[in-house]
Amino acid sequence: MAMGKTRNGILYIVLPPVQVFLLILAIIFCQACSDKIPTFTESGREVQILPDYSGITLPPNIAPLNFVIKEKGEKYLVRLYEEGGETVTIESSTGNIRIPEGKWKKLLHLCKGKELLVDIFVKNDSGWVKFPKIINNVAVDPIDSYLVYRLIDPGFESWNKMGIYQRCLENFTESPIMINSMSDNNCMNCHSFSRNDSRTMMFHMRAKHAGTIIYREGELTKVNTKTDHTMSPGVYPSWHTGGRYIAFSVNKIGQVFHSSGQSKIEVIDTLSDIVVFDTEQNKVFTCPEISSTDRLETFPTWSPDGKHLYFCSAAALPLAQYNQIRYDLLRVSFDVATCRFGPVDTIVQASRNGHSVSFPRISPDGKYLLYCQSDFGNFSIWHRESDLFLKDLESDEIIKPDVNSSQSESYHTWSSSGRWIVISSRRINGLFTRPYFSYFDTSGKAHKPFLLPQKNPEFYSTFMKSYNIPELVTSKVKLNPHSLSNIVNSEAEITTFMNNQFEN
Amino acid sequence: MDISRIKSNFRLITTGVFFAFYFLYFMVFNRYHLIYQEQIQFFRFDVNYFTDFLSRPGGLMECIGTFLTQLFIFPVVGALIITLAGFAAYAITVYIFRKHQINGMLWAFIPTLLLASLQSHYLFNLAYTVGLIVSLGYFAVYISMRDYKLRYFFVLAGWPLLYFFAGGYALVAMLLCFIHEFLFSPNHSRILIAPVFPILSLLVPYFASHFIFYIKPGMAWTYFIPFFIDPPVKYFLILLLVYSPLVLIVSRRWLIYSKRGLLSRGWNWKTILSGTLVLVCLSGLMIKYAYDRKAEILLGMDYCVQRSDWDGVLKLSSAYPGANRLVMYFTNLALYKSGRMGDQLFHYPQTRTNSLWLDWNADDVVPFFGGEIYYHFAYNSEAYRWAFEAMVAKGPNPRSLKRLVITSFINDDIKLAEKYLNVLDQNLFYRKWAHHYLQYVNNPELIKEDKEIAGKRHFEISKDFIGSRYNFGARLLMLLEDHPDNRMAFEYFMASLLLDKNLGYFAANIYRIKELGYKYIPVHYEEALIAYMSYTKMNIIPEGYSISMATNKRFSEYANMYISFGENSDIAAKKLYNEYGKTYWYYLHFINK
Repeated sequence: MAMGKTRNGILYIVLPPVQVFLLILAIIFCQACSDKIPTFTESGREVQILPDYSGITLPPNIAPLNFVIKEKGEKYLVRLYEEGGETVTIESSTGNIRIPEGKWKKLLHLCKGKELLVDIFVKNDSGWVKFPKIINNVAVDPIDSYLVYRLIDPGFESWNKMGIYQRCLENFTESPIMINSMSDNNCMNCHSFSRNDSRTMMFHMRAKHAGTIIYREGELTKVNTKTDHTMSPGVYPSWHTGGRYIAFSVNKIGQVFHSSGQSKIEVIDTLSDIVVFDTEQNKVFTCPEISSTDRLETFPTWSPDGKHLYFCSAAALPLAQYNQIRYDLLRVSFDVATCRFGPVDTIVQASRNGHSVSFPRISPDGKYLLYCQSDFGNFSIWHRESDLFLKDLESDEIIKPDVNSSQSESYHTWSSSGRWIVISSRRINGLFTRPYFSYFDTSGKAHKPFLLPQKNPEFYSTFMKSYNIPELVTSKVKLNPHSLSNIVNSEAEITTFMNNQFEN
Repeated sequence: MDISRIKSNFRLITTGVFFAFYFLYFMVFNRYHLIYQEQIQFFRFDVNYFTDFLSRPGGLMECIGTFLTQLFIFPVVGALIITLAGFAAYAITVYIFRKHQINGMLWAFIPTLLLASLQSHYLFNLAYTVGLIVSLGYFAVYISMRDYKLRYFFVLAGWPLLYFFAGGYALVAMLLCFIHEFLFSPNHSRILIAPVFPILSLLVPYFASHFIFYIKPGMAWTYFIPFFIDPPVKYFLILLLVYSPLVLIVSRRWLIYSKRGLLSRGWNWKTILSGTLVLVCLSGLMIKYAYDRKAEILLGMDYCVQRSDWDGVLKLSSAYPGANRLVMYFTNLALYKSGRMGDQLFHYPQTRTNSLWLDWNADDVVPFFGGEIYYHFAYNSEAYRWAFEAMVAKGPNPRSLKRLVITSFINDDIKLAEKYLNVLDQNLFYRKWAHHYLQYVNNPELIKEDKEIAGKRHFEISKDFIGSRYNFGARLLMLLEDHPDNRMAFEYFMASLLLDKNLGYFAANIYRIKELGYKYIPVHYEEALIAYMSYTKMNIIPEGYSISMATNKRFSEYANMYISFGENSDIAAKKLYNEYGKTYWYYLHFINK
């Protein structure tokens, strides 16, 4: 490098070519940097983004919440940051914002227990516009790592391709547990886990290769849960906390179709009871309180301590009176040592108020009960008015948490810690069910739900399957269609009915 | 001109003429098959859609086949594509046979004819043809390699890829490679290497089905080959798969043990004539056993229904040999839509109310065709349901998706309509249609201005009623009672009563023609009323209407003749058929007793 003055006294600096090149690069870089935080005008209204990831509480281990900015513009700029700390900046010319996974993980980790802030800038004809900051909270409590669900066509009777899948919530990996291309395109449903544990699982196979597949203690078995004394194989399941017993409903299900209005279909039990299946002895038992002839009992769910079996119960009515069948929530005590049932209590008498309860689920700490409430019936996914309700089992207070929408909210489960809930909701278009997560804090408040994130945030606009029975599990299910192939196509073991409950 | 030039020209002319006929065969005789195939597939420019094809062997061929099938929206293009595919198969076969000293023209035409037979079946997708072409092409590349080491490497490294691309068709290539290596290759190491080929063809699908693809292990070797097709077309498929291997084996044996050169026989008029004769006979056999004229007519009727060409439907219906429920269903819809149901219902074969609608069945045929009448009834919930079930059964397809869009708009499910429109937007040929209706999503007031939607909304059911999948007959009356101005519900209701010979109920509802503004009593209604009044001696003709003199006169003549036959109903049926076979009286007395 050389310096000097011209005859006119102008100072000059002569730089070698390399340094000139580096200088030019630095200028460009600085210019680019200054472009990342452009000059802008403030917009007075909220930015439209899809999915709506604003004002939510998210777990510290969730995959990037990619989203689309639904504002007209030529360029888009997004800053995600913790106040005074780490920043992740993303530029886009389409508004499709995909957050780099590594940077996202790092940012979430830093924002644990704090706010995660999002600034969105959109450049249009009049220049850059900045929208009001989005403030999200990052919870301290992580969510269970995997979500298991069935992907089905949200149809009426037919099915084609379907499968049970698991999705890692910390990234975008989805893999099949079982798909029906391996089992002659039959139907499979009602997957269930014991206490969110991926090592204890069951699901049903229907039509061809019928039976219930049980995965327990590293072993796979296939059983036919239908006995001569029960009206059907097991349907809606619930694992007892000990992992040995499974309560099933047994149902005779009918369908009728609406001719007008927003409701399309009515799925009705003409008969239903509850039985308990012993996985060690392949035996089924019940008691009159949960298998009466003049009532419809269904949707069993165990209390976390295993001492009570909660279930929905309604007076049995003819099919023509389908819109008068209303379920209350009851519970019966259970002694696991003797396999005896005790007295029955009424927990929610929804029928008295012209409503009906379905899908009761108790939080892992036993304090709260979450359930669906609709105007009648039990197949709440087809009831637009179906909403989630929460009962404090200690104070008996019932509230309607602020997680509902104008469309159906239906199947839901708790995470293993009880801090997260996954909800099946049709809020986007009234038909295709999507899983939403809501943080449930220690004060008993459920926070604004957010949609399961996808790598391409526009994924849901053309995805033609519904997410059915979303279940949170703590680790990856070590099953796949190949490992299940043999058992699925095998003969089911017979189950016997244990009659001793009706003695004495 | 020397003989080789004449030979060459003759080959070209023969090939040209053959494929000209090939094209015409598909263009003229299978036109509606091609249109139907376009209607039951849906190619999407979408990453998730594409990656799904990679999840199974042959998936890539399926993707290519689906991409090309969407061009069948123009039947001429479809016929051209099929012809080009046939020509590709022919050209590769010619090359393969020449490499094995099989020079006769006829031999390469046979698999092409077999392919044409298969392609005549409405379930034989172009994807299967592409799979076969790729498989034969693989073998053609194999035999073009002179260096045996390169050939072996091509099999060891390339064949697993071929299996991934073409599924079970890859085994045809492997069989050909094995035959070539074992019987034709001069290489001494072939004795050691050739057995590796069948081992590879056993192991690769086995491991693929156990560790890579999610397919039933037992299906791994035949995956993607359409063995689901019924006989006799199935036999053509088997013959096509084994043809080239068999010809190679036979030709090799022939060369060794028999007079050499018979399969490369000298060129003279005798061989030309005999070859042409064989070709013509084989073509005739193909048309006899593979060409399904009935299916073509039926699919043509479906096409006309989609285009609201009701005269076209009736014309094809008259050409259909025999009775078919789907044909009757389309015919009756066309009769109603062209205002002729009441006058000409019994001019066409009928089998009670089965002729009017299709009973529900969760297969891939009934929902696809059967949902049509519900849309025309403005029975929107049912139209939606059947369209959805058809989409589940067949996969996303343009017809179901479009119907779901419109029925969703009718039901004010704008977000749902938008969903289906987003899917349609991913297709090259339906994008424009999707864009038109996407305007409705952004400007819902446009929905009210849409005549089609407004017309259907007029008949929106005001009082909900429930139904099962089976009881449409009962729900028909509910539709009518909910909207007495639903003319289609009325005519179908009355048709169902006539077909069930329920004259009492028919008479009880005849008053509705006045409410619906009929200018005259339709002919069959007159016939039914006369029959009813002759039994009951009651006059139930609505005020302001009368039975025409022609019908009265015809009834007198019929009655006299009918009575004259006494108890001999079989003779009566034969004698009365010519003149009265199209009347309701004939149906009442002799049909569906």
